[in-house]
Amino acid sequence: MERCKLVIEPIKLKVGRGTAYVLVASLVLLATVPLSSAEETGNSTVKAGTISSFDPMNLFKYRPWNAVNYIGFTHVGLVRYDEHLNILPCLAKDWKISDDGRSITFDLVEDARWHDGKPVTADDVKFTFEYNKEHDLSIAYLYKKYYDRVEVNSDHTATLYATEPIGATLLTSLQSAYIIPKHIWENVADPEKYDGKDGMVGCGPFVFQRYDPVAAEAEFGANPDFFLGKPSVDAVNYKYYRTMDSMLLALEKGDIDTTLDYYMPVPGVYAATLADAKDVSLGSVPDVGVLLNLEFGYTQFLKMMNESQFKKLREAVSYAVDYQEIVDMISAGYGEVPSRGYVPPTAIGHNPDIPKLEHNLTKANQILDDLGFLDTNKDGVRNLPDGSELSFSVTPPTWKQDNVRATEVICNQLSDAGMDAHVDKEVMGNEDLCEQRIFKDRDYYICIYYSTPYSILYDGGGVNCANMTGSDGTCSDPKLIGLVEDVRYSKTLEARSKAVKALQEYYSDELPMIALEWASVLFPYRTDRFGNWTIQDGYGNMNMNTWFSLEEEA
Amino acid sequence: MIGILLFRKFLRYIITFLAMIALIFFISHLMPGSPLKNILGEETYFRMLSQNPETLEELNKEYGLNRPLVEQFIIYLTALLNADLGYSYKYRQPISELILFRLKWTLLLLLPSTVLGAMLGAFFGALTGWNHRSGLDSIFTSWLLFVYSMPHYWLAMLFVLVFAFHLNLFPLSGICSAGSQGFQRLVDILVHMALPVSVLTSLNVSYNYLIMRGSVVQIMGEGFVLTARAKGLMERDVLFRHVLRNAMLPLVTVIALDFGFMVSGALLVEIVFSWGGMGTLVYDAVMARDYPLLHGSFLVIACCVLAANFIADVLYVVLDPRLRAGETT
Repeated sequence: MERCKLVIEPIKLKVGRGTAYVLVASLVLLATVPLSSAEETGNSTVKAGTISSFDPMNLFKYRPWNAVNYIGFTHVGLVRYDEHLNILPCLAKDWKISDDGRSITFDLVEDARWHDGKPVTADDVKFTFEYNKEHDLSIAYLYKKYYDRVEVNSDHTATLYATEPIGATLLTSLQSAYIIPKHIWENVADPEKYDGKDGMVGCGPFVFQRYDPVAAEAEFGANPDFFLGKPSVDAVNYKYYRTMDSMLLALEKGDIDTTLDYYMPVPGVYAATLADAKDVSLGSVPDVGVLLNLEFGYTQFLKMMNESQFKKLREAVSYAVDYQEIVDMISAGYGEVPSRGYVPPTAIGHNPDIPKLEHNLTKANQILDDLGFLDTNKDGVRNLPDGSELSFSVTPPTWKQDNVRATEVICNQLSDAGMDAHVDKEVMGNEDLCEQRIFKDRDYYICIYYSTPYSILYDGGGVNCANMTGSDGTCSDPKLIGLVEDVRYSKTLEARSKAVKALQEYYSDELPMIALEWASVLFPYRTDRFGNWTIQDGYGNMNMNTWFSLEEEA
Repeated sequence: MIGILLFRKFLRYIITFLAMIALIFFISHLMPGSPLKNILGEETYFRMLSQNPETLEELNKEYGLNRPLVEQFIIYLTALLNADLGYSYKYRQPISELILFRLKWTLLLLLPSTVLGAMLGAFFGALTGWNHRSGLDSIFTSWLLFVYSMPHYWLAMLFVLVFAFHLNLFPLSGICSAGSQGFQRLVDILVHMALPVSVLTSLNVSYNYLIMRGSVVQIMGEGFVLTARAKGLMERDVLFRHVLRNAMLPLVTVIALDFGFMVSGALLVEIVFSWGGMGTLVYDAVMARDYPLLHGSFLVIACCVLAANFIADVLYVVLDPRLRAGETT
């Protein structure tokens, strides 16, 4: 008997032509709609991109640094920097540091007005400092530690008193102490929750116009009444991008003219692509911090060897490190081999005569041999005189990927000189333990860390290596502590410069920490719509000067 | 009968929801790192950790982070009962406002891509399942398997590079351009939606297609298909009136289950397109250890998943007469 056979007839796919036409027509229609606001805003509007979110738009909502990006448009401090970070007058046209270094008297410009038309007075200055202290706003961190009081001498003269004689250090940190209007904020008890529309009123070069939370874009119009003159551009549109990739694509495509983020340079890995892009300049400038350093843990090493041996070991480590490899790997070659003096060339008091660090494995081996740290059991690792191995861990801050990568490379480089340096496995994957090791217990042998611009500005990096109040280092040498105090408590800029030079001499002789690279930082911008950008050391075009130097391209 | 069945399911979802509240709370607190790092900024936080641990302790007290976890949980539950999701550490805004704002933009991506993905996937899956081993089947299956195997973010980046950057047909990122209003705004949003919706739809189509195709192939050998044919029905009627209805059951489950995963799947797409939706909100909350925001976001996602599952259960009852008759649970 023949079995019933299942025969399936194919069904023809009949997608109507009409459907296809509708799809194509929709795509064409969508594609013809203007893609950005470039057409609306005109040529004298600078379009800037950021990867730091700023939703909602309010002076104190975001802290501490995201807010600096846009506060810098609307607000100014008493002083500002030029492109090489020299102090220039701003809201204060003149100042005088007292002989004892504990106070600075500021003469304010007399024609400064808030965006709502009211005059800026010394009362606003006093109010700003007191308000910041009262509300513990982190943006005031740089000076609040030493802030004592402000006395108003007249409508346009105020004296700022510090608790310690730190006149020069205080002055250099005031650039980011943005002055706020007393008549608005004196009635606001909780600034971080304040949503008033006048929350963005400042006396800076741009006036806040609007914020579009859906488009994640804000617009600032030039302030024609700005006391230093009207900016050379009509407006700045400031747009948020979720990732560095999408922001840089927008830059290459011409959707934005520049990236604009406070101390958030574009990583070197993007340099090659950007360098090939049409009408894009890399905006490479020397860094003001130290991107990567190597900090010795005195406590742990001094348990392993004596003071004199440890000093020679530090010397050997400095020769074992291949600095150029670090520069190439972390910054794609955009940087330079640092000097033994640690402090980067952008800092006040940098001494260019201090010799550069040197990668010399022969010298490293020679020093270790002379110390008697020999590989007695021929296992590839040197032994200490007591027979134990010259073995130690290297701790990176686990939340910094570049530091973790650099740590692995450093371990390999030190191994080449017979040291068993290994990544600190205990802290990997345990951020809490890592924080505790680096900042509380400080029981690391070597830490691959960094110095922020603040660390350099504050005390020439002493904050990273000295074991003293206000620092989290491990070196308790009284000489170092004295030198760091000299920098912190310098009364004048000249005295500060001298103190920084002396500190560099110490760094060079003793090597309590080693700069692994002096990086160049990239703040790319387009050159087809605007020219004559002012690119500030360390911060790129994120500075007030650029709004006055920009020239529209024909 | 149906009412009892659905009520039992509903009760089960309530218990699941309560368990999820606890899980979300305790698991998020197991993450290493302190929210204060983000609140204060890295540099200030580390300086305080090193120099002024007592100030950090005060801040921990201020944010209630020093209390025992169980106590924090009770406070959280009490606030939840008062419909208070809390205040975001990072955004300094009430969480309910934040989530409502972000959720609508995520749904704007997810709903069209889910609906389109389900319809196209079901249609083509059924068609090629019915005509399996045909040329059409080979082409569709190979292509959609290829799409299915691509990571979300990679496909998104490919779309951005090709259609937005090189061909300049669409915007690179964002939800809309600043300054647009009214109808212009609507069109602008549609233009910005085109690429992310296309990416999500492509991925949904590929997934649903494979499920549907497999389901149809499996059902084709069933007796009721033979009966339908024996009745002299046209092939198209057999497929769309008999086979498709039965093959839909696994797809309904998959779409419902997928709803929750789509929020996480959309996360990467949202990041690539700088789309300010729920995905990026959750990501930011995790990075900032913003516990209240994390709890609120996951709670909303959990609600969406449970609701989708409940709807799937209802649809199951509608689609499957055996359930209505109480044959299975």
